[in-house]
Amino acid sequence: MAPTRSQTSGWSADEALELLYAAHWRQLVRLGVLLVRDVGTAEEIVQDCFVAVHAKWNRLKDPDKALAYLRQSVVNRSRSHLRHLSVVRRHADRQGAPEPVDGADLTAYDHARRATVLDALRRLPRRQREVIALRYYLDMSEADIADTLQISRGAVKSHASRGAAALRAELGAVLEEIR
Amino acid sequence: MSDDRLHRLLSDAVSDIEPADRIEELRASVRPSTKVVPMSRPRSWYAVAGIVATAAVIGVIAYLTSVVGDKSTDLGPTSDGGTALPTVVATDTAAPQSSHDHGKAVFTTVGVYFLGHGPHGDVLYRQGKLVSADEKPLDAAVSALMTDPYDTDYRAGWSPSWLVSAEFRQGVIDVELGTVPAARPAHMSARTASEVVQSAVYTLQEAARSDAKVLFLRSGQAAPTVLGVRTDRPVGAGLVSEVLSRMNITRPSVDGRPSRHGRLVVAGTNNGPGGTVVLRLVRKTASGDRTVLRRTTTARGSGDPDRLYPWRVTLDTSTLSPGSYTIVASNADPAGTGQVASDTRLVVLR
Repeated sequence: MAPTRSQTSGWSADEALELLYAAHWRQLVRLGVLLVRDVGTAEEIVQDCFVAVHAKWNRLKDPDKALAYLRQSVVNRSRSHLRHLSVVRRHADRQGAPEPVDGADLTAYDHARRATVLDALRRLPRRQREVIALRYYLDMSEADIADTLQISRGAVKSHASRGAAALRAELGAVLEEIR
Repeated sequence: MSDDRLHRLLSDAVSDIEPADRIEELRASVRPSTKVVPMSRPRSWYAVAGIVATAAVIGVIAYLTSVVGDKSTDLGPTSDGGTALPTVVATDTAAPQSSHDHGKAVFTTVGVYFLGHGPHGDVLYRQGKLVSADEKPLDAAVSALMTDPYDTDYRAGWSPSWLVSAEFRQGVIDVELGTVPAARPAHMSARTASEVVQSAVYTLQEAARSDAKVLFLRSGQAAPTVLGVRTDRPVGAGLVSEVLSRMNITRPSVDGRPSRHGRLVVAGTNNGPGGTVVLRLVRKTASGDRTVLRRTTTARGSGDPDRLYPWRVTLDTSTLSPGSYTIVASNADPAGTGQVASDTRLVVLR
């Protein structure tokens, strides 16, 4: 069960780490996967976020917002990672590295469907992807997304609308299958 | 698209992801006596390079499995001793020299014979499995025999720890057994037990590129029986007509792999009346399975009951809507018995 307001204020940094980990580790890694497409990378990113929260715990103005801070941190670090990745990929492309394609470990039809969704998400512009993941995976409100991404609510609405339209166009067949 | 469906779609996309437990690493990272090193900075280039390298390797894996599918018609004990196994070098262009073996990861494949259903009981289907090229072919084959196949319709005959090692010496392939039972388990049919033993024989012969017989050993001594099958003497490969499936899809080699560009290459081996292959593409619908495309083709040969003949066909899928389909390849059934060999593979059309 997620920690409540009355609980968080009295925690030590170590306690916060343990309890936040127990409550949110899996979901934050999954959020990371939606943003960066790779489980190992997502784990690294989220682990870094937990370390950062622990380091800053005593300086947090509002410990009750630790989860919001973690989410924001995951989004920001995922963004940084993707920027860096694009540089590396450009370098790799010049070297003639094979195009990333689905792996041989995709042994089931469900895996292929999930990969298709993650691929479609990856092709969205960065902001749209972030808004879609926060809105439709974490069920965050427009106001909370605006706060997390430091953008206006109007921008959240716009990115959500365009992102959803793009996914609708690309994933029509997949949607039929999960109906 | 409603909000709810989009929510379900995204939740489903990551529903099978179970992150590794990193609490111990986290505790170690924040321990007061330990200098807290931000993980992403020193490792970021390394980690990113690893992703690119992983992507490159995955690309190679996907490429290899399709190549293996094609090559499989030329490999195996039923051919002329087999050809060289394909080896591909994945260049880890961005990773530091120390990340892998001097920046390169090398893979190769072994042909593995897995159990699957046939018209009259279990038969063997061949599938290429990716292994590290650092491994000796026989060691790799032993390991691969105890792993799950890529096709979910097949299954491994050998459980983990049932085999230990294999070595080719003095014209015989020696296999040291692990915990495989000497007697046939109650739930296993005699036919299945025999096929399990044959799966090792076929697989190890292919890895050794030899038709040498296989001697099963326990602690260095010939094992009288394995799963109730007599093995006190070296075991040779059974007849193709009795051991192998008479229809085997080899390409696509992996269930669920997306196919692009409006064309789908399907290949395999068979042995059936007139060499005829009946190919169907089936779509699951709410009202049941629906065949959306049907083609027949002819294998490059027929007649010898103890050979498998290669076939290959390119399907035009440009008029089909994207989604998941099942490829069904069957031998012809002129007598209408309904008891013909077939193989299936899932494919996702984009």
